[in-house]
Amino acid sequence: MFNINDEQNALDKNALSTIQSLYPKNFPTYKNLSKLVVNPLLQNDNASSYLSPQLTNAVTDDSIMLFNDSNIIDNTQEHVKVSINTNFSTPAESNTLFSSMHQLACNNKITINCDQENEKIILWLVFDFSLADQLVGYEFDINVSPGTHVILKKIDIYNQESKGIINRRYNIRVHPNAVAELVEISTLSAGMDNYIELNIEQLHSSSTFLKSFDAGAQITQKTLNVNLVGDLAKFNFEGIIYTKNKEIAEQIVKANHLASNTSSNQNHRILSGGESKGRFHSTIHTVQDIKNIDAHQLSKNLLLSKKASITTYPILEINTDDIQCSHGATIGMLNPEHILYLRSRGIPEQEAAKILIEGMISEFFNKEEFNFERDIIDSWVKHS
Amino acid sequence: MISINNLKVNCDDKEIIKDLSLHINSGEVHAIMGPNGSGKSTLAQAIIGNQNYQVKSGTITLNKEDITDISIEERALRGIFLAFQYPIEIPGVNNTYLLRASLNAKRKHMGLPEIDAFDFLRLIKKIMQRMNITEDFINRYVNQGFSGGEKKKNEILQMMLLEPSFCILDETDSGLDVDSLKIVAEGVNKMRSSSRSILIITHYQRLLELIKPDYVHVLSDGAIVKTGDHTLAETLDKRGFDWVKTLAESNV
Repeated sequence: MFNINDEQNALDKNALSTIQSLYPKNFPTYKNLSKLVVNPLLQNDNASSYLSPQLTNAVTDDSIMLFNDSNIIDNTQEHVKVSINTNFSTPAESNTLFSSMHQLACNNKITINCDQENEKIILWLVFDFSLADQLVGYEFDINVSPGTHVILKKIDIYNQESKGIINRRYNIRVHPNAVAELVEISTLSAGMDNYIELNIEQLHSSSTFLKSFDAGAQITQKTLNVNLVGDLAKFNFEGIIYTKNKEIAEQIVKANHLASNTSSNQNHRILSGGESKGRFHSTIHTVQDIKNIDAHQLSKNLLLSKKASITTYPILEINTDDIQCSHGATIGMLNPEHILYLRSRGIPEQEAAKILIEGMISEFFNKEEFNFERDIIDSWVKHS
Repeated sequence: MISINNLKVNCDDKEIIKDLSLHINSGEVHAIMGPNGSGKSTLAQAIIGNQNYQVKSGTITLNKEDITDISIEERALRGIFLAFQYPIEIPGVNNTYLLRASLNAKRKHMGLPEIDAFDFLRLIKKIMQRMNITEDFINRYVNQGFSGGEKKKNEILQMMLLEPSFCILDETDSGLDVDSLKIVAEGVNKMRSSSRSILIITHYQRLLELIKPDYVHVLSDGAIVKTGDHTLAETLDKRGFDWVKTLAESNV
């Protein structure tokens, strides 16, 4: 276990006060503040050599882990690679990786093994981009071991001055009988480009539930590749992209049914205002000779201004006869009757539109377990 | 309180309200009855300022101020409330959120700070108890999955929360069972005060047996053809709307 010195303590407090000021309500790690551990990276140039065992120890102590990449800068401008192998093997209710990303920090590779059978693990990934000014990149390999139930929640912290290109890739392998619940919230500043790639492989009888919300960045591209390779694997996705100024946002989803008795259900929404552009491209693909497939996709989109545009491609590539499959896409405006009703209660038109937009978003986050995420999203919609 | 003077209202380029005048003093309850298509709901929509209904001539004044050309939300903030005939469903918008947003809009207009969340919950629960409404009611999406009666109760709940000075109830009795009708009527009766006016639009006398109006007006083809006290509703109930047509023709 680390001995936390005064300087590190001060850094802890700074980091946490940042979180507290941005997200004052319900932050789930409040109860664990006393256990915060700071990565010695901050004081060591050769971090990668001694980072891994220390952090592994920290996390297995059922604590929160904070690692800070702001000093991972190679003066030769070559990409720095940090490899962290983290095993969540304790029955942890809440673990948090908190990464403060500053300058050039690419190709960081983090492997997380979630292998606590019959326990629910809640893992928070908190990215602080408030000081970001160049290019940051991360790749996560996440293994959800057989029978494990993991709830992985990822959120971003930023400020209006944040800028740069954010590039993240998640390779998630959901082993037999495991359940992965993923909540991917990206609310960034207009000076940022946000590229996210999720590669999910699902084995026998595994389930994945993914919810995502993306907003703010000048360019957002979210690519989701799901391979249902095991019998009885289930995939469920609810995703929202909200653009309101001049952003360009794209969501590309491919659900590959590679085994019998697999199911996928996709529900997408793009809300585009201002002069922004939204694009949705989703494919359901099945291979030949598989049976009893259930696959559905729905794209319900909302144009919030006359200059905004939305393009949607719901695509089916079906190579088997034994399938129940549906796809649909709609693009509409805010319902004028809804606006009228709210205005008749004294709520100004602009405020009424915001309430309806929040409503459309919150339909995906309406359960109590998503209260924290909904607070973040509501706050973003209100103040952006 | 509210004066409607020589009002003509079009909807989709068709004249619906034809030279209608009506004056309602503070503390009075008026009822408007009439057959389908006589213009009752059009009148209600014109009063609240729904722009789908175009006022071609005439004026609407509230407390001696001309509100004919002001926006629907401004009229609401000045105290006009319509309990809709067909309350709409708004998926995703929590009922509590709507109620609190409406109350805070009113408080802002009055120069008051936003209501504290705890105080709001205490207030709304008190009103819900009075209306025999269960607590899950406010945590559901606005009117989504509500029965017809629940939707009407939700309208009255909003009315009781916002305490408007001029309330319009557009066929609030439709879709209500006997017990719900009594609860709604009790709620409305509790809101009767010397500083508030109420306009009840209905086809039937049954609501007016529970909320006794000071005046009853019979509307036919966009104009008031007869005005009387609460006994007029009884007469109308007995004689039917064909009698109204006869009245209208005799006025011509």
